[in-house]
Amino acid sequence: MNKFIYILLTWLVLMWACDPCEDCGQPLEYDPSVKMIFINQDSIVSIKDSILFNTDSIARIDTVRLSLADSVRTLTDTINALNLLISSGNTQYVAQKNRFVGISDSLDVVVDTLNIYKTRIRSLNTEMNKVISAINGGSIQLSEVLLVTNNINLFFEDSMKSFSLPLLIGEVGSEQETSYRVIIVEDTFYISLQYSSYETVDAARVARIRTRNIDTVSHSFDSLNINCRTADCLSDETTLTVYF
Amino acid sequence: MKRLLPYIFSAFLAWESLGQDQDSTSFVVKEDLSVVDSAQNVELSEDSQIVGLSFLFDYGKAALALAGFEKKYEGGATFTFFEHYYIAGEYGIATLQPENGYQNGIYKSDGKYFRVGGGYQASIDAKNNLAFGVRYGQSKFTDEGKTFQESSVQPNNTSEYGPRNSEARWVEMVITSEGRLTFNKDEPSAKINRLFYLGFHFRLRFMSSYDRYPIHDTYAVPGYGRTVNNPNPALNVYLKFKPF
Repeated sequence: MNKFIYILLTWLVLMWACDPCEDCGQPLEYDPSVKMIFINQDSIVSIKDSILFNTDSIARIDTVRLSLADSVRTLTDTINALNLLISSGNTQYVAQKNRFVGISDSLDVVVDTLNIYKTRIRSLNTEMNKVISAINGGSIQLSEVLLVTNNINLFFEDSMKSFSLPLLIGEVGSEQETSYRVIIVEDTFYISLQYSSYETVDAARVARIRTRNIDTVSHSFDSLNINCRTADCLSDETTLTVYF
Repeated sequence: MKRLLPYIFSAFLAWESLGQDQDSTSFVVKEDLSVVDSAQNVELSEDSQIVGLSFLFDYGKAALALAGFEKKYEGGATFTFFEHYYIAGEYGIATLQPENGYQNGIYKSDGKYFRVGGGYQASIDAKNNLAFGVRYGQSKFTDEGKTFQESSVQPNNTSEYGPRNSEARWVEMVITSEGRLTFNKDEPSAKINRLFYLGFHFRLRFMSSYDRYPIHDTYAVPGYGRTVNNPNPALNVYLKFKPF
């Protein structure tokens, strides 16, 4: 009887291989795409200018602070000399000594104030560096993305570090071009990409039309970098970093 | 498992046919040794013929076709000589439409095939045979496919190819096990008890060559199965009619 159970199990396992998968034959919702990262380079330049200005201010504060410290030391030496004269009976120097003491105290207050300003400027620079890091991370909200070629709006409601922009396939095997209009707050940018489409079947038996040899035709950003994983510059593997 | 009933039905057929049928004469031995000896002598004398001819029908494929799976029909003939040697020829037609040909499409392969070969067989007892052999298989078929890709930003895409006329060649190692059917138990030497066998072929198929295509390569070959499997095991159940 055991023999029959083994036979039955073997047969069922073999038949299982013939069992159709649940989602086979269904259309695939897919567009080849490129990943785009937007870097607000103008803001970075502006903030870096501010950081440099603050750094210069700190250097100037240090110079003034050192100069004041020298003055305070000179005044202290003078006050000590006057104290010796006064203690030996030269009381006519008392008023002058008191005036120097007042000046020295005022200079101490100025030095302390400069130290406070220096600390605050340093913390301000730290915050601005964090802002630069955030901008370099690319997290941004796009006001509008339009597929100019077929006049279709793409919706990206949340702030994101990268955006997946679809590439239009056209006729498979031919050279294609897709143009986008991107609005960020009040600034409008354009970019056009060219590529060729091709068909492929992967190991999981999914047939897709993808694109390769992706390159830019034109753009209105300040600068742009294309990062391809392979020499073929394939869709879904290519990242465009644009600076504006 | 969407088609459980056909599986169980097929498994039942396999249960009935696979493996070695129990030799009823072995039970008789304990009761009446003289009867057994005479019965075995009759059967052995019948099996000891110089040449023999038998015809096979793959009822497993037919059952699956009737149950709504892929259409596959196969039959064959075996010529035995000197008791232990045989040459075999098999011919079949198949329309393969594997559900996982594409996850987002359909694939169909339709054609005919034959296998020729030979081997060595031995009788285990009065009712059961075991055989080892090799086959050379060749298939002529046409295949075609269609895939679907949908999009929300551009027109949906449908790709089609074929029908393509193709050929494939392969070799097989075959292990065969069969048991003779006893219809008239009251009269073991009756003619009807020597005519029919149920058995199975376990095949290990090695693809030699097949027509290959870029992108959408040949996926299924009638008589061989999926080309992604090499070697490709298979189990066939058959009914054998041995009139001579």
